[in-house]
Amino acid sequence: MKLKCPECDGDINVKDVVEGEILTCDDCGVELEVKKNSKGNIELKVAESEGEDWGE
Amino acid sequence: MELLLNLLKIYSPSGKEGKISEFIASELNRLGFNVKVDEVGNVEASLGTGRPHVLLCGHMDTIKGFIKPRIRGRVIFGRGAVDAKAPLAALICGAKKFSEVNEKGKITILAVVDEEKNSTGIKHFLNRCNEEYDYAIFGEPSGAYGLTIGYRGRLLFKISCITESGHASVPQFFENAIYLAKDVINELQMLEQRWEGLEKERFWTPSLCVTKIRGGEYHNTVPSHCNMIIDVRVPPMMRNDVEREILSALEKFLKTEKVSISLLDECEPFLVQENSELIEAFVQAIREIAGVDCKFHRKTGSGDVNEFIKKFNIPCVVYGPGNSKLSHTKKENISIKEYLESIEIIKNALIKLFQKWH
Repeated sequence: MKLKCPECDGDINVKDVVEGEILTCDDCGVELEVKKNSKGNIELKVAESEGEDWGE
Repeated sequence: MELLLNLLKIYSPSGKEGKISEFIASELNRLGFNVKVDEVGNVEASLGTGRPHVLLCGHMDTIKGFIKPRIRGRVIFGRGAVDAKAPLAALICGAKKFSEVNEKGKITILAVVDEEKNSTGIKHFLNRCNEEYDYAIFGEPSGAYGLTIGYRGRLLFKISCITESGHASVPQFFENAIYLAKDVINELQMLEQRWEGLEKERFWTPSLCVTKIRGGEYHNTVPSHCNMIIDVRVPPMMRNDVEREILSALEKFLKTEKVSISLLDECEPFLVQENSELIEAFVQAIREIAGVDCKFHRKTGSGDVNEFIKKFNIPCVVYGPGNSKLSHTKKENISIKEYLESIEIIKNALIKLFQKWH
């Protein structure tokens, strides 16, 4: 199944994903969380990230 | 948006900032700033007089590797979109918007060259600067809702290994300077592992990295010279301890006089108190504009602010839109919403800061 990255409209192939899984958009690098909407369909939202910040 | 896109269109790797320096000077002049360009291409532009005097400093250079600027979806791709043309553009736009609602005090925009390589821009500026400032804001990606309040310091060492050379056909009779360097590196790696083993937050842990190495003279000669550079990152208050540990780790080599170590460069760690009025102004601005709490970052790298604080003991902070994980990558891009919000946050923070004076 193909979805669109909500940030850069890039194509993201999703297969066998589970709710809460974190994917990375290959085009813009944003981390996306797999969610289910009210209709039970898979959608992608920008994830809240707490990762390490290397700085400049 | 137009300013950011125009900055991204001009390829400006460190050392080749001429064209972008001209563009920034012209643009700031058009916006009504009093503009000066110095001998190395730094652009300094002021509005207003009196106190407080706030310096807003960003860098116009990027790493090598042009990325064609383009808007796609809700983001803009481009080299420097994160590090650090969007933060620089946000400082310029935020300062300009602030000046439209404020008549007191002075704002100086400083766009420097060469932050990515040797910080020659900020060093040159600091050497000739006779101004007084009350606050300084450095434009680097902290995220629009975050502030960077700490950078580790840096020590740059050169280690030289020198031995007697000989014919490569009888290597067993001559000491190989490259193999000696390997033993030195092994010792340094063990020191690095001891530091890692402390299991403290990375900001508070020293680290070292061999970043360059060169050895050997001829294809048929046992190497008699091998030099390497080590980049050491130092948490606040640990500079002397770290240097002592490195010298201690290398003591057995240094005693032989075949190995020597020299300090090439250093910069101070930067750490600001969370309750400074400059920080408070940004915390309130972020809450007001974005409705979220500010996140504080202590970064493992270093920036131009580390050079600045050697000369100026004033409240400083590092702020700018962008996800720094995308810095220096092929995917470098910035969220348009985040960029535009950061402009409002900078304007709002300046309003709050200046209100404390007038």
